Amino acid sequence: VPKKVYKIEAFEGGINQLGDPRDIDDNQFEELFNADVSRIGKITLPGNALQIYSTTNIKNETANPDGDINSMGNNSGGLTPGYGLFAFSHDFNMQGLVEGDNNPDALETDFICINDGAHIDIWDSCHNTAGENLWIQSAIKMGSVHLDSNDKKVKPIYYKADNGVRVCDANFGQITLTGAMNEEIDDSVVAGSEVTLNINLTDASSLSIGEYIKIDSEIMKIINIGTTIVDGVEHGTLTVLRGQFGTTAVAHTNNNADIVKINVPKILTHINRPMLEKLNRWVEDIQMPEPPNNYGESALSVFRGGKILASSSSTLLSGTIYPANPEKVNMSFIEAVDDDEEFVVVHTNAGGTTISTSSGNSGEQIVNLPVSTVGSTAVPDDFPGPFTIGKSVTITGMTDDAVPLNGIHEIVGLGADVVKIAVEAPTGYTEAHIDNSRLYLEGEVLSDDLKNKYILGMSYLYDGGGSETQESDVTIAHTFDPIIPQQESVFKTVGNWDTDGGDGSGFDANLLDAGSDGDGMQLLSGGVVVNNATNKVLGYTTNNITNGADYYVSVNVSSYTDGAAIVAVGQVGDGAEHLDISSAGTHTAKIAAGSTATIGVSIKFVVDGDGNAPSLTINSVQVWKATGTEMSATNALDLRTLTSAAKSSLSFLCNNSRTSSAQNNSWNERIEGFRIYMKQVDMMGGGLSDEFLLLYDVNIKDGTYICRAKGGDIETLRLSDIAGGNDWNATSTTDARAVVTTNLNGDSIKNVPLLTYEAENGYEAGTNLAAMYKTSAIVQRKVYIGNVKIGERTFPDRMMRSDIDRFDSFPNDGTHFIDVATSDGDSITKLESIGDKLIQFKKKIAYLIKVTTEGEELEANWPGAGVLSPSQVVSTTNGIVWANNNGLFLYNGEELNQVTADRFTYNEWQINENEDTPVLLGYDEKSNKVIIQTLNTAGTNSGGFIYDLSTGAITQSQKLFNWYMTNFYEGVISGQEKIGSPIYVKGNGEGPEEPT
Amino acid sequence: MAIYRTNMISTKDKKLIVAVNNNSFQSQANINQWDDSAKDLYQWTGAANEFNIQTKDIDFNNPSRRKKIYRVYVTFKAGGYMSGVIAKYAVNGSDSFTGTFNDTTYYSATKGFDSFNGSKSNSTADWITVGLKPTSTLSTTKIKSFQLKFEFANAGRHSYSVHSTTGNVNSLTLDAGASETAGYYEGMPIYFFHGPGNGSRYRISNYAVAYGKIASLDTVDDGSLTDADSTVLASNPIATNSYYDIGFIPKEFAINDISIVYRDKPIK
Repeated sequence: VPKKVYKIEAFEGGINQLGDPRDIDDNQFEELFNADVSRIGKITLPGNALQIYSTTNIKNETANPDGDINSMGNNSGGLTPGYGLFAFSHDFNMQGLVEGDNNPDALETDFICINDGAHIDIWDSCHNTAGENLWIQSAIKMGSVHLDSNDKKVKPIYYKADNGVRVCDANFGQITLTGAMNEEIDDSVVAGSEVTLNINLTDASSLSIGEYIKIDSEIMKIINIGTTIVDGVEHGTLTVLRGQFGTTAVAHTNNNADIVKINVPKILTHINRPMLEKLNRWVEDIQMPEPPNNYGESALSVFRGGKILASSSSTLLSGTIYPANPEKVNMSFIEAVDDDEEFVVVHTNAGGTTISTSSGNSGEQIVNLPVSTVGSTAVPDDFPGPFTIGKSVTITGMTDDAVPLNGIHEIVGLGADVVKIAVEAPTGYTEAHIDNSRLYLEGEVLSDDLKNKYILGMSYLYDGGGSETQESDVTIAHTFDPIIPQQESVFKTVGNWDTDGGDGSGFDANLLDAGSDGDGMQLLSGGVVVNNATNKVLGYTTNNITNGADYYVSVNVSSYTDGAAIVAVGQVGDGAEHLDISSAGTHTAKIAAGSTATIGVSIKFVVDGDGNAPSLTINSVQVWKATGTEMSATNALDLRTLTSAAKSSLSFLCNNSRTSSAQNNSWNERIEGFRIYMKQVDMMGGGLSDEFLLLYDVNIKDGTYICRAKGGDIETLRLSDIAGGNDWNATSTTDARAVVTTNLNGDSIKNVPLLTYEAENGYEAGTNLAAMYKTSAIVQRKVYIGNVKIGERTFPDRMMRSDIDRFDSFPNDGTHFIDVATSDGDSITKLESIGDKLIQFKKKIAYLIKVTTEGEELEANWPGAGVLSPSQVVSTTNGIVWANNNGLFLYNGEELNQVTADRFTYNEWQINENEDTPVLLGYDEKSNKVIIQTLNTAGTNSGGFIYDLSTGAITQSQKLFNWYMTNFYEGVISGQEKIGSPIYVKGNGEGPEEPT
Repeated sequence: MAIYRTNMISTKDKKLIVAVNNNSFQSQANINQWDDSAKDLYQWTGAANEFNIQTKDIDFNNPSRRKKIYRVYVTFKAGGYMSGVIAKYAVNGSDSFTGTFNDTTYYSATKGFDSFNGSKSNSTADWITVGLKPTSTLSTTKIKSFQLKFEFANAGRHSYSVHSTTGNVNSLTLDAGASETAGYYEGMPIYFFHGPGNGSRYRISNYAVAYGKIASLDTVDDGSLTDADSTVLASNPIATNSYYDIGFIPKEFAINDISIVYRDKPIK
């Protein structure tokens, strides 16, 4: 019998422990430990993970994250097994996040995140233009809840969408400070307002500003920590924002209530866009779009019955009533009585043009009406200005033979200084029949269906994906009630304007009669004409002024020739705080009231610096006490009595300037704009309508706004040009220079807005958008989160979905959750996307879900394919790979393959799933291999398997991830082959210990 | 010691990384990266001891017929080093790998496949084919199946520090417990894993015991197996607190093919 040769030349079959060693393929092995068969025809040694990570950044500099990662001071108990690491890239570095005042550089940069307790440290591979790399400590702070045991350590779940990285503690960690409170809390403070709490001193020392706490079910944000002495004992104090993260401010009646520290989902996002001026900054924020808060002052302050924008001609004046802080908005409402909308028809104007008639093209009779500004016969400077053919005008005040001209007419033509209307011409009229008339332009009449009572509210618009924005809930406005009723403030009724001087307060009599020569003060419908009224006082009497309290005043002067006016509250003259007026326009100020009980507001007319007697016309006066109350049905804005349209204006601070790292008037940079809504008060029952009607849509990114009650036109926000200063300046720290307003003439409120909050968002205002989650995935620009916690309640088997490009909003409205299988008693552990599909892993089972534009469809369920931990799943170029005690699985987008089914028995495939020390899967793209680390299997305590996706081979590995010392060096963490960077990281930071 | 590892992730530059620390140093961590190219399997880490390859139980496609095994030819390379990998065999599906092979030019039953001996005539890149003859003909004459195992020889020495330096730029004196046999460590790789010279890797080109246990070092990284490499320690000198690992499995070790020469026994 001849000799024979049996050759084995192929080895890529890998391990096969299922079959008898005699029956497996020639290229398979019974054991293949610490060997590699991925190179066809060869057995070689495997790679390992003993190298310190290093890369080359965009500036061609070598960068490795071995620096300050040794300073993770919050990480007691060590890293969280199976959690904590995340990598992402962005087209800007994080320059400025540490430095505060620098802008990120436009450099394609890689980042690595790792959790340091409940904080996230981020390694910036190219932190500056020199190409230096840097660890940014605590770049994100979820809170401070982190305990030592593996099951209680922070478990960060990350996702990156658009420009921001989000992170949530999947442990829903919390620490209870038992009996920390020293007082009860009432519910008089609404959500978003601050309150100072008295707590145990030792508990206060364990808390930090910016941290979130929970008392009962209400979540609060700490904005200040201090101490106080009560009965000789020092206590801690917490100033908190109430009702945060989607909760409601309620009463807490236990004066020894527990304070619970919690971690909340956060976002770190790069904002690179205009905010009126260029903005380029990384911003950390709570993930959910929080609504406007009332911290410090009201989010939206509504000044009824007056004007807040001080202006002279087209210049904004520094007296303008604007919020003291960014992210707040002031708004004013007044019945439209401005010259711009209201005119007079005169028999003969100053240019000699008289009322006349003519024939139209079809033979109809045309009346040519000379129009002029109120109080004169002069043609408006900008005529024809707002007059256009097709508009309607409303004429009132014609008398006797001119009465047929009263009514609504369409403008059919415009002459040199006349408005043409088609109407049968009256005859026999005289100048007296015409000259007391008024002409109102179309559109300045309030629509009848708008004549209701309303409360107002404001929401913020946060950045979303693409051009999408995410809208917060609506915060109800506070109203500053007018001292002077609407009709009196615009002199349409006399009311408490003093006409006889009878109260002895120094007011002057004969307000109604300027005398035969026209000198003095004469009250007309819509204004007070002042002429040669030196040292006379126009006064409003009331008992509602509080001595010494601050008041806002607003006085509109429609025409001005000479002299000056001194406006005061609770007193007369310039003896104390007052407002000086010596020009046309609206003048506003915040001044302290005097002590004369019956004086509301006084306007004393004096000669000007040149000795000229006062000559001016006042159109409106208003006074507000400088404290607001939240709007409700009982103090709602009442548009029912208005005869013409209302005018509204907005003012707010915004210029993004910083002094060093401190923001001045910058808004939260995530906020791209705000919306102001109006909600109707039901006439029956005094309740509120369900709908929030969109009144203002303000875009501070583009610097534009739309007033929906006026029309759909996009208008430009007005940047401050306070007299005496430069135009609005992004670096100026002077508040007045940062004032942004709508147009100075105000916006006409005349039609019912059609858009609603629900129409804009798909869910009602008041819907909770906040959720914590244990896993997340993005499919078709929608974020899916699984195993969620909303408020106090957990939903282990529930998924929630954001809308497209609204990556931080998870509306709890009943239409954004998906319960795939609620009866399986299992909980979701991981979501993973592949194409337009989503794999929902539970502990025992996995579900394949197809995502369509209509929703989600269950395509398959795979019993036995669940995982205990998210680290057991990895995405590869071949598909999704995961491992559990039952085997190794590959889903390639079309079919599921249990890779180990024909190679391992149940007993041989040992990965020992454990939630506290999870199995790890990683994908090495270069070799197309999946590395499987089984942390806790006896005998292979750093071992596992390597799955070669190219050949299908599985090999086993041991001690390729850590250098386990065999004799000494108990302190060694891991080794590195080369000298230089820390080879051994020791506790004292002084390098390796010597062997003993 | 409790080791803590995070999840594993892929970076933008296509590297697989994981962060690691332990309970002694909780506020520190290393971020390690997977490198799939072949790596040394060291003794001092325990990785070499885990090396284990067991082929299928080969019945030569005739399970019921007895055979005689004459030789096993293994084509390997080890980069000019003594590989530290030895071969054993089991027969008839016993799973008892007690069978060994005789020493030959390119193989030592105690130290493994030897490309150091071969280095004088082969480059480090050459494949070497060695014919392994079973030490016992008895065990190979009545077999129906034959199974090969490759495992770590464990013939080196590790986790000891250098006794002294010789003043020479390419030699040192090993610790007192090192082998008394001249030439014992020749061809083995040596790696300094701690102390001065940390991270450097050489080959022991000569081992003399007459005047102390002096190991002469060279490097085969330049592809030359015969030059003096007289300056190997100059750039990265070692000292008495340098700790070494001799005789691990070098990353260059590879097996290309295995051929078994046998003869079927006549059927009686």
